Amino acid sequence: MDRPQILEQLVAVAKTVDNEFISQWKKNGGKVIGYTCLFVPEELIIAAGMLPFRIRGTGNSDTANADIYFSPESTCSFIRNCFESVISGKYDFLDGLVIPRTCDVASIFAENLRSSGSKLPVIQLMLPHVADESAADYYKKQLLKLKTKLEAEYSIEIPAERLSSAISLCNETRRLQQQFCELFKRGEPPLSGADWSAVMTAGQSMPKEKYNSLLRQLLTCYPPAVSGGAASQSKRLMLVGACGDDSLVAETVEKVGGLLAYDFTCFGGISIGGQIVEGSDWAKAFARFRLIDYPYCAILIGAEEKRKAAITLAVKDYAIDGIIGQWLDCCDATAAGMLILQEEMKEAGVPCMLFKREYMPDSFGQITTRIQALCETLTGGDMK
Amino acid sequence: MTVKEQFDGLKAEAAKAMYQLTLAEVPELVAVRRPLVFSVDSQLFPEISIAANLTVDNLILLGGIGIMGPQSQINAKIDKVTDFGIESRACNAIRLAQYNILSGILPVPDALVLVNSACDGMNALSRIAESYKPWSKVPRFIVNVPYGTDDEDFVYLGEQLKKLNAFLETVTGKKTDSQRLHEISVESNKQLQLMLELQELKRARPFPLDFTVLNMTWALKSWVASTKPSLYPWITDWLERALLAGENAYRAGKGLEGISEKIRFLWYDATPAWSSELFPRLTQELGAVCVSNYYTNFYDIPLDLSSVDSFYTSAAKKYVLATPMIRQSLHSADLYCEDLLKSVRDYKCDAVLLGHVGHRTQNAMSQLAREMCQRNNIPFECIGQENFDDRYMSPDAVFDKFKTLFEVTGLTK
Repeated sequence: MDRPQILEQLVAVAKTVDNEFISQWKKNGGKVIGYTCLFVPEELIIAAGMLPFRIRGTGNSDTANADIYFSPESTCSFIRNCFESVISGKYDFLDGLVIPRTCDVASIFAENLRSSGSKLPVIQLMLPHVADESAADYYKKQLLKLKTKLEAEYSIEIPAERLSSAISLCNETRRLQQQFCELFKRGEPPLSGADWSAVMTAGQSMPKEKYNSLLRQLLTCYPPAVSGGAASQSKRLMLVGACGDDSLVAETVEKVGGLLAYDFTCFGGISIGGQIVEGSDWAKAFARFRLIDYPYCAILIGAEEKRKAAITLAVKDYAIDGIIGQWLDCCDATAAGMLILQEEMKEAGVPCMLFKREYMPDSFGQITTRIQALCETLTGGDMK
Repeated sequence: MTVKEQFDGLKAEAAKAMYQLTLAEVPELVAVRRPLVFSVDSQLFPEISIAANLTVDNLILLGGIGIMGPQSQINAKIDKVTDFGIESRACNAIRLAQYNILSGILPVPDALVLVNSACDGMNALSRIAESYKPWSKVPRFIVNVPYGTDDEDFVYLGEQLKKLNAFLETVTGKKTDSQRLHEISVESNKQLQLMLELQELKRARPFPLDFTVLNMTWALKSWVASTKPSLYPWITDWLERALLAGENAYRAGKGLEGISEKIRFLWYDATPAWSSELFPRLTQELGAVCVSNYYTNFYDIPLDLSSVDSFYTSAAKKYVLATPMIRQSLHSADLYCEDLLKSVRDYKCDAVLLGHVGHRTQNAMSQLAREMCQRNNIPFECIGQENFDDRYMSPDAVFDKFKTLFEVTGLTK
């Protein structure tokens, strides 16, 4: 089957930072607000009439300028690449940034940006790092503060009905993305793991209405499998851990004859789970969504059982043979998460391979060898 | 008794008390100490646990790292952690604490207190403790320390501390007597007052204090007190004697015996475990005296005893704004830089040095600190050492960085 044009369009969005949809949005006078992680409600930005764009470091060749502010010896390369992209002008289309206090270094992003001479307005969002009811209540208050700050910064009002429709819109995105993931439950999925990652990343890089429309069309290209699909000869792997906005691991897995059938990373499976309760109290609904119902971010304490349950369920649903865990050097939270993952998977009898990487690695050779070794172990040595 | 002898005596007493924080006590923990409470950070609630006569062991300090032992032993422990499979580049104090849990060295506690502060490393340690299977049935309380410094943030944390107290009472059966809590809090405020007075002596030139003694004050008031509640009155007495020794030195106006002070520097960080190889050499060869660091900056935030709510809110405020490393890690770069500048001015520092690679926030703020120092003509260097592993950057290499900075900025002339 030929690759649908729509898929190519989405892959193109994921492969760059600026894209045709952003250009069109800006041409129509729209504002674009960047954000760094899932704790920022896209719904709020959409309700403000602006376009949320999840920033990433795609396309950077180095981080020379960012390294002045964020020491490579102590800062993960995702933050350094994002910072580099912002100060080097790749994100000149942004009208503002919302930075949650996700981790130690993200907490200084705004101040360092100001120091670099950037005039980009930055709003900080305080976050709890515990997944429980009282933290959700605290988070709700911070979300309401964020709404007030957005309204003040851009001289706008964000009415409740627009928030409701934004939640419906994003719920629809998540529904469609979940349907898309279902394709990977087939014995022979019609797309590659690299496509999976691109489609998810694109969803955080363009207007939601347009994305939903494209994804809906894309799904029609893949009618339900007649007999559930033939059993795959490839070993089915799942990626767990940091980032996930590139297709490096997926391509590597596929190059050595495996299949990346699920991706439980920040840009991937972590971002698409569930639905936000639609109703009157949007802040409470969002806070509970991220901290109580789907508390998968590596920074959260008190979420181990839910995190483990989600991974275990994905292993079962997607018939996963082995897990690849990745963390970025200097990310203490994900590094600990990997130690925990290793123990849990050992207990569950699921082979698991962990590796530390850079966001934009100079070379992926060693990691390729290790992925190949994992695949060979799973197939008893009969791989490409 | 000379001032030096007074300080040496205080150091010996404190070292003995601090030794008891480490893994040296593990056999005793297993055999004797029940209820056994492990906390990722015992600094959260020392007065509460002391009032309940409840010992709380700090998971970071149980590693023994940075507190006791020759450097070769610390390095050997770090190697063991790496061999075990903990590959992260987190601060070695965190890695060692993770290892102590995962390797099964520590006994199963009766209660766990987990917390997200002061850094992602502590957060990660909490996750390890939370998920460690042999501890899965251990009752736990998780504290979310807010990153804001508004009144509502203190109220929010204060409410959690109140619930933590109730949790500990339920789990350990040790009740906090309100009269006793009042007495301990009064004592705590008195200790703080003594530390603030001791801090005033840092302004004097020549520097009249033994820096090691000064650096031990927080460890005694917070860590030792949590682990050995019975030592609380002795800690007050120790602080009084430290202040007296400092005042004697100040009145003599000569500085400490054998030290010819030429350069005063601010070590804007926690002191490395291997500072005994660095600081004396800096003093002897360059006349460079450390006059302040994270652990010797004290803030006048006492416990408010006017009501139960005000007590907990003030305890929260004290933790967030007056605890070393918490203050510097949790809050804004503006506060961090303002504190730096204030220390330089108050304590007449000629240069500022910092740079433990494990301190993510601090490293991310170092350029801001550098720019502020440049604006104020303060020599500045971010070194990039590892505070526990002296092989990452040797004390000799760090010494050379100090020397070069002092030379190029004309401080050695």
